[in-house]
Amino acid sequence: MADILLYISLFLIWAMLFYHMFLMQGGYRHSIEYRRTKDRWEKKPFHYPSVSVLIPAHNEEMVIEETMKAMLNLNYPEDKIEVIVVNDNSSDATGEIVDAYAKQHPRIKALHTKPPHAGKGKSGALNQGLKKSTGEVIVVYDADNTPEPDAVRYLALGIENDAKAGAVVGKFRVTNGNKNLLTRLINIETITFQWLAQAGRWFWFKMATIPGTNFAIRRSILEKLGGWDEKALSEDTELSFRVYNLGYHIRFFPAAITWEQEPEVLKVWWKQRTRWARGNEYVIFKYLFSLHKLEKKKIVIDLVYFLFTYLLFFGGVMISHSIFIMNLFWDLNLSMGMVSYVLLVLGFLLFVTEVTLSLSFERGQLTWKNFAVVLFMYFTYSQLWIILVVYASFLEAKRILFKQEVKWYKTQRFQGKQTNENRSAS
Amino acid sequence: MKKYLIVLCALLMVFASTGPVSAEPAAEDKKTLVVYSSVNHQVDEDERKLDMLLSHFTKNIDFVHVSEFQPDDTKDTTHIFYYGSRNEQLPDSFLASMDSYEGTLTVIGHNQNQFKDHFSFEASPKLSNFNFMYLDGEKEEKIKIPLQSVFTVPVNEEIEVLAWAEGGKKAKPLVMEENGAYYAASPDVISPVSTLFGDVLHDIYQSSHEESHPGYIRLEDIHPLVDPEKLKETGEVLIENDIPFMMAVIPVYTDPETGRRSHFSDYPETLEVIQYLQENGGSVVLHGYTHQYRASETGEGFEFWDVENNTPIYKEGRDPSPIKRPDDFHTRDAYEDYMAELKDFERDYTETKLNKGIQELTGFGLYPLAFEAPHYTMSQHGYEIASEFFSTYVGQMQLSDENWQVMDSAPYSTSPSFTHGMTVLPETLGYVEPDNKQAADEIIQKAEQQMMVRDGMVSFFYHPYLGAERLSEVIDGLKDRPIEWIDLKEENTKVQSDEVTITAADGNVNVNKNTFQLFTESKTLFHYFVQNTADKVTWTMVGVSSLSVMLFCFYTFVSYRRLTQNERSDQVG
Repeated sequence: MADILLYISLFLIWAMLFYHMFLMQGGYRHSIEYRRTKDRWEKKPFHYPSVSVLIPAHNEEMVIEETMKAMLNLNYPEDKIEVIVVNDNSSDATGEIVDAYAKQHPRIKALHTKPPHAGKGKSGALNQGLKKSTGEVIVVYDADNTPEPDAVRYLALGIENDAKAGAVVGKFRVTNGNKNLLTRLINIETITFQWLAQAGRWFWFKMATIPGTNFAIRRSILEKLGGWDEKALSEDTELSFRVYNLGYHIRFFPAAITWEQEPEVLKVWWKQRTRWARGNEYVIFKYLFSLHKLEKKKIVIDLVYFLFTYLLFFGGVMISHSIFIMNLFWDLNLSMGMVSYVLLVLGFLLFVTEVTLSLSFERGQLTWKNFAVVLFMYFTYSQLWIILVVYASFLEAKRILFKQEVKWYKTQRFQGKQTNENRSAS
Repeated sequence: MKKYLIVLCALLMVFASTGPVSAEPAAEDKKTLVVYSSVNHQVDEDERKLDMLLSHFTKNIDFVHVSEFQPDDTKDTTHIFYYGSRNEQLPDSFLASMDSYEGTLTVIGHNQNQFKDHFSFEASPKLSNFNFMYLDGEKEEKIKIPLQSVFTVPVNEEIEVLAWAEGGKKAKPLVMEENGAYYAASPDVISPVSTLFGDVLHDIYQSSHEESHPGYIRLEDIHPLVDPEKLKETGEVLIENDIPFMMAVIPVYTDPETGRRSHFSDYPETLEVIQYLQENGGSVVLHGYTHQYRASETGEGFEFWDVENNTPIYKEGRDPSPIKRPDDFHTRDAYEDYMAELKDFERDYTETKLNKGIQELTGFGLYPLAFEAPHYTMSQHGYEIASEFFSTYVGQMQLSDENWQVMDSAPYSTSPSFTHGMTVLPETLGYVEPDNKQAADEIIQKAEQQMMVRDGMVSFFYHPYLGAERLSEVIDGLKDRPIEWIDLKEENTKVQSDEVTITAADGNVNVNKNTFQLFTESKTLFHYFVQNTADKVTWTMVGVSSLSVMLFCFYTFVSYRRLTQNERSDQVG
């Protein structure tokens, strides 16, 4: 019995690891290919579409000014771009700062929402912004983002050159990656996530997840979909699914780069990640039981991936952990010998090589220090995820059972701008 | 001179070999009638002994009790054997019929004096003892045997003595011929007398069998708990000496104390060794399914005989009720119904065991080509059932349904009527007894005796737990002898169970199995299949992910270099 469980858990875990290996291979190929695509497109004459940049902001006084400056630095024809900051029911100075910028720069427009149309979370704010916007292409940035000057231009380049792309997703980098161990870990995680999951999925399946910031989406699609789902906790994942369902693909185009701040305190990180996990669980359940209604079955790829991440892979890890602990106290007569240890080591090596490979794509990231952090990461940061899923699942179960309202938690910002020397010009 | 001839013949045989167990051409023509005189009028152990000896020459053998003999019975026969197992007055009609019989008549044992027309002499009804015997003209090769008795026949010139018995330095005719009729002066044709008689039978049948000695070595009692290292070591000796061999395999080991059953899936190391040996000259012989009945230990217990009651397996091991006797029934019919029921039980039991045995081994990649009953014990009915599964039987045969201890071997390969078509490859030399230091020498000596029979079988078994050394002793002793080691894979064997058919010919084993049924009907095999598959999958996972790790390291290197080169060119530019 323990044998069977152990094998089941092993296969569940390794199904996931094999998928990651496969994605990483695609990620590597894309890291080479996207540059060629970029060079090709840049040589062609380019018609700039009109762009509306939406920035939902709720109590963002700490970071909004930097964001405004970055917006003004964007290389884009002035008559083709508008930046709409949705000041969503802020109680701090966000509104005043934005108003001040709006007054001086025609590019920036302030939209202040008041109850009952306010404080409904990011989706609500974005829907408000969408109503006011005029661009053919909608670009979204979080209020703590400082995109590189060419970011929007690249996103628009992607939309214009790829008719089948419903949305184009850029790359985000971490400004405070060197601040402390936590931000270092998050930095490594985000780089890996984007090269493995985003670039890999784009390469093999022409799929990527809209990340909530630094992406462009066709206005026509948003209107067809009726905007963002205000009930969804992770509105981006949800939106991605609906875009696929219309038959479009989502392009991952890492030439468009934004920089953002990541949580510097574990507690803030925890709350943010809990929201993401719950959001993804929401999406799984929303689509899993209405799979037959979906027109484009391609979503199944992502849905299975989520299902694995939050249920099956997780279950496998839970089972193998418990068997490991039980085996310390009782002889379970496990028949799997050497191979289980070999796999244990290989699992670790895969993690290390995949993360290291991802780091090697980014200038200045593959350092001995970061390598040491990667080794450390496997045993600590990565394991935190288990507790996180348990917690998030518990909250989601409670929400469904007691029919609770969804409460959107905005990630807390941190003082002190991090001028990053590592910023690349590419 | 004769020795050289033997060697020459043997060499010719090697080159012109049609396989060591060559069938007599036109064997079916030698229609043989055995007239016997058992007390209960049934074909008995004595007749079965004769059956074993004669079926080397023909499969066309009929048995008739002397009291039921009809003159018509001799029709078309070429050979008649009268087996006088007791002293009695033979019916006149029979004797008259014999007087005018033109085929070859052979008389064995008692009542020789009544065949007056054939023999000028009369064997004295008094028995005298002997402990040496030899073929005529080969006195220097006489063999010593345990004390036997012979009817004394006065030697005269009319008689041609073919084999001699010697006791107290006095030689007495053992088998003789007069005017085309033969007399074997032994009251019994059990071995070792049967060895000489077996050779003389070639003359009686005017057989063309050439001088050639098939042989085999059987590694005995290989069950899941066997020490794999010793097994391998033992097998290697045979492989090194280029000797094909047999492995008597028992699929299940039962612990007598706990009752716990172990299968080969529980001991993969042992299984691997057997698979290896099978690939390298070994052939698997099914040696029962558990080699035990009731709660006895595997390898010790009997499986197809109820030793406690000395009966065939007629009931569940835990059923304490005694087997009833004919006196327990009011009518004969009631008793026969009862016996039919018991036989049905025996059939079910045996079929189940054989099916399971064949199928479990097949599932483990071991392909049995023959059968050997544990301790050589099995009822006549049992042999009949076994013949539905196997074309080849290996070992000695139990000859009586009353007492398991009555068993014997022919000196050569045969196909007695009571095995219903199975070819029997007899075991003739015994085994290396663990406590007997002379065991190897004794086997070699017995082999010499066996080779007195022109195509006598040289075969013994060996327990691998003894290690390789003692086997090497025997092999060294037999090395220069003209023995053709039997490779079962060359013997056109066929094994058939519910879900599996295994045929062997020309060194190839062909397995036809219903894989799905095989692995779903047996829990053990299902578990093994799953385990095996899981094993393969996990090691494939190891391979693929190791490759990936190496690939990713390489990518990292390439990508890192590209980036630093870009950086440098950026700085330069």
